Amino acid sequence: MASDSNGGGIGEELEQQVHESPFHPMEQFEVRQIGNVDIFIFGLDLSFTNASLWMVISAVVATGFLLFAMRGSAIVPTRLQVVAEGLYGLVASMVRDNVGNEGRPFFPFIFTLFVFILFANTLALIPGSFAVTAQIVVTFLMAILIFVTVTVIGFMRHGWHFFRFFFPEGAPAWTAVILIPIEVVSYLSRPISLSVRLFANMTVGHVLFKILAGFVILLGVVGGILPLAVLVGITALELLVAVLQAYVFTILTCVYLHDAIHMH
Amino acid sequence: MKGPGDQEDLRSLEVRLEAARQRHRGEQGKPRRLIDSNGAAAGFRVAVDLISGLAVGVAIGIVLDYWLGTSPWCLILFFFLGSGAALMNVIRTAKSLEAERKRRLEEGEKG
Amino acid sequence: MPQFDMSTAPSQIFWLLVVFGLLYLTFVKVVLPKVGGVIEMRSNKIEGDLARAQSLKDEAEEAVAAYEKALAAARAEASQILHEAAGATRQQLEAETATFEKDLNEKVQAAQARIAAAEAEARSYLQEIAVAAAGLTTEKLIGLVPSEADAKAAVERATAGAAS
Repeated sequence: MASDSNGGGIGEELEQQVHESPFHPMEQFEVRQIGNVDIFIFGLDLSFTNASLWMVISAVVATGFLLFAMRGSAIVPTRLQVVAEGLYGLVASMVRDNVGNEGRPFFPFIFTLFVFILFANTLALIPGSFAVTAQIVVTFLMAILIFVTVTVIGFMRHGWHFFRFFFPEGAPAWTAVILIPIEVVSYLSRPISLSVRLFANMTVGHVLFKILAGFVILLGVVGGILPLAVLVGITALELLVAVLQAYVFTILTCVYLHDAIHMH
Repeated sequence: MKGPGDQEDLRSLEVRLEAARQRHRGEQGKPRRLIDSNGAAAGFRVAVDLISGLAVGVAIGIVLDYWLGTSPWCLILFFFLGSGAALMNVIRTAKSLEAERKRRLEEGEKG
Repeated sequence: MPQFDMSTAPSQIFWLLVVFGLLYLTFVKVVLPKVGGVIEMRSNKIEGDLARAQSLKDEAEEAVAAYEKALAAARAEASQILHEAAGATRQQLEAETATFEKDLNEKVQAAQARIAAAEAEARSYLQEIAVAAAGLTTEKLIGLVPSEADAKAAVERATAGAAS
């Protein structure tokens, strides 16, 4: 990090450092195989990766936390128990408010979804961890599964009447020519917006993190104080974003479910 | 004489009991909403809605052109349909955010 | 962006499905019944406690009502007894007073009669004394002894004159 050589500007050097070092902001999103065990099924590479590892960690930590928090199952709850029950109550009221009573059978799925995303998002804030939800494949798979399931539920409930969903009630008949394609495109954009929102939020947050962390380390403790302060602020913000995005993903799932069951 | 004092105790008990019952009912029915729709998050949500509508429109256009060999007509058509869908998405999101905001305001007034 | 490298997609999809599926099963079988169970238990307990408090309150109210009823009855009985007792005493008093008065009257009348008899007797003695005194006085004054009849007549005249 000596500044005497080459006579290059500090900016140039910084840029070079950023690109070469493990602090490259995009490097953290690379999916790498862990261990030497190659798993191939039907010619597909299903090997265990860092992404897989952090999925497992998220699931285990989530389950462990809930079970630990509920270990006493006390009538007068402990502090952790309040948190665990709060998550349960939050999702329950989300389902009740947005879907209604018909949403009850889907509560376990929606709760699992919320808790999984919540823990994946927040655990990703640990330095050196891997952000599962900053992978478009992961968020899109969840979104498309929800989309397909919800659409199937819509058709099962309403049969061909479900197509009415694409035409606003009371609009003049001739507008159908324009409105129906628009509504169909809008409907099809749901899994995209659902997955991209989560993916983009997490990616942007982590890129920001990595760049700031790089600055802190490059500039040393003294010079890095300002970036460090910013980093602390960003961490708080990212924690909020992590919770918020899990909440938004879940609540939009509830809204889509509502549309499929009630059709508006 | 102890009589009137007893009556008063009972009446206060009645009041406290009713309050406890109300609290319990409130706990069960009250929707617990925690966050959402601070400015940046709402803006991001709208932006994503906008982009995704347009992106899906354009994607459909390109795929149809590829299948039907009609380039660039489907792309153009679906660009506009995608724009419409994007607009629709944004309106819907804005409406739901507004409804959320109102509901919160009402709750705030009540609480 | 490494995220758009689709060579790792199959692995991610596979592991996500496996992990999420297992997580879902764990939640459905273990976690959710536990959390939901506690919440329900608490809700039931609170409802039970509230119901018990209500029934205890009702009981207390009943007890107070019974107590007040008993108190009112006792008060009424006491005043009844008091009333009766007062009545009896007054009657007895009146009866006793009446007999006493009657007795007294009789005694007074008897005494008056005795006094009248004594007076009459005294008066008759007085006349005899006056007659004798008149005879003796006359003898001393004029040396004549009047007849008893004359003396008597003179005394009667004198007392009649005095009386009139």
